[in-house]
Amino acid sequence: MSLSESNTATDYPLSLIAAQYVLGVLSASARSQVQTRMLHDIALRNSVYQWERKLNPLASLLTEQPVPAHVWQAIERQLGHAPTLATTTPVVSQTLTNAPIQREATNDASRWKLWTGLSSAVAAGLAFALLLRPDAVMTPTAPPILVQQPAVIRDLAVLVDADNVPTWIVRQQEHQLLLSSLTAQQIPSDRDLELWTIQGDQAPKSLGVIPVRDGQAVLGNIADTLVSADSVLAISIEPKNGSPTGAPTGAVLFTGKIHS
Amino acid sequence: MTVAFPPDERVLLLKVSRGDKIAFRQLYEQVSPLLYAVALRLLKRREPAEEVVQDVFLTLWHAADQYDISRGSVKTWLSTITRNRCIDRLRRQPAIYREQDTDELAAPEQDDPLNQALSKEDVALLTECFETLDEQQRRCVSLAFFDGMTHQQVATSLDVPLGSAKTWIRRGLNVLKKCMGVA
Repeated sequence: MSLSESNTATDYPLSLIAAQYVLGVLSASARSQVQTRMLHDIALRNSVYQWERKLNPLASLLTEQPVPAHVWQAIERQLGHAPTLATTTPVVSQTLTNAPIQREATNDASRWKLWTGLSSAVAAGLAFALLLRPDAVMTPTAPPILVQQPAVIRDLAVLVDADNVPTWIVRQQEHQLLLSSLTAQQIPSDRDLELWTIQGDQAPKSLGVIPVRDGQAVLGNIADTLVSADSVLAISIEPKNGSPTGAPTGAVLFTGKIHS
Repeated sequence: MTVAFPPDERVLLLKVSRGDKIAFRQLYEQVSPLLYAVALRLLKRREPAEEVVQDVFLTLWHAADQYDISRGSVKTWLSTITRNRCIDRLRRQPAIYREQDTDELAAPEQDDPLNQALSKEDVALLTECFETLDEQQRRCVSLAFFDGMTHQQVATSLDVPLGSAKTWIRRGLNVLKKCMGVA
């Protein structure tokens, strides 16, 4: 069956062609035609991407299935990797030193180019919810885990550095903020990072010293009003245990706007 | 107070693009059960479903930096890749995946996953939109999306004329398009 035979002729609305392709309802030949056309038809390609983004989260309705161990073993074997144990190493190694704060060198700009859109993507409402799965993050060095019921985590902001490089992802789970560093950072042992919220013309309010561990941190007891839409989050470097004045005293290293 | 939360998949993917094998393993553990469920549901057989998951992650290792935030979340992006590979298989070799050949243990999924939608907050908008479909439209869309059926297969499955199945699907997609704000 051709593209036209399957009711997706060229006079068909582009969006409907894309929708049927993403839905998976097209025949082999029609599907092949869409794939070929997508190579040069930017409008069709963008429409397909839009439908994929809107429709494919449906897949999360399926009950997850345990994958047989031999699948991972085959992946490692084909890539020539030595066998790794399941999630036994922190995602980001954190070393406290007396050296000035500095980011790990990331010279490969190409690796970042797609990520620089993170802030705007959050702005576009791309937030997706993750279900809490404590078993997926346990590490030997991690602090004791308080197991909670699954809760929705939503994207709040992406903080960028002075060069506009995304550096921190901030998510919210109920009254807690979850911070994940995109880069390994070294913080002097006599300094701390502190998170601030800035709302309109008001003075910055502290959301707390960031207890970074393995590139991640959790800040609790955060009132929703402090992280409302259009507020700005900022991270400054402060003396140990935070600013002595209640206002930022050190350099503001990272900022990002909260979006609804 | 401490709390456990899964590493952000975008963070993991970024690390994978730098060749971080631990992050690769973590991302696999976080995402592969869903991808496997998607593949099992579509292909109905364990072995090809495992092959697809394996293939997706082999590709991911070499092309993690190709992730484009405009394609959706990491999980959605990988689900999309998985679905596309499964559907391509179904279309190329339909005889292999005929129902009578399926591994009966391979598809323990409920008949219609859309019935679960109300309990999943992360697809709240989708749920709301699907509730605006009538029963015929909803059933057709579900058969196509979760089971990879063509227009003809949907018609056969529901024992209705091909034209009816096409119409219900087209109308259903139009409803979804408006509801979900697709341009």
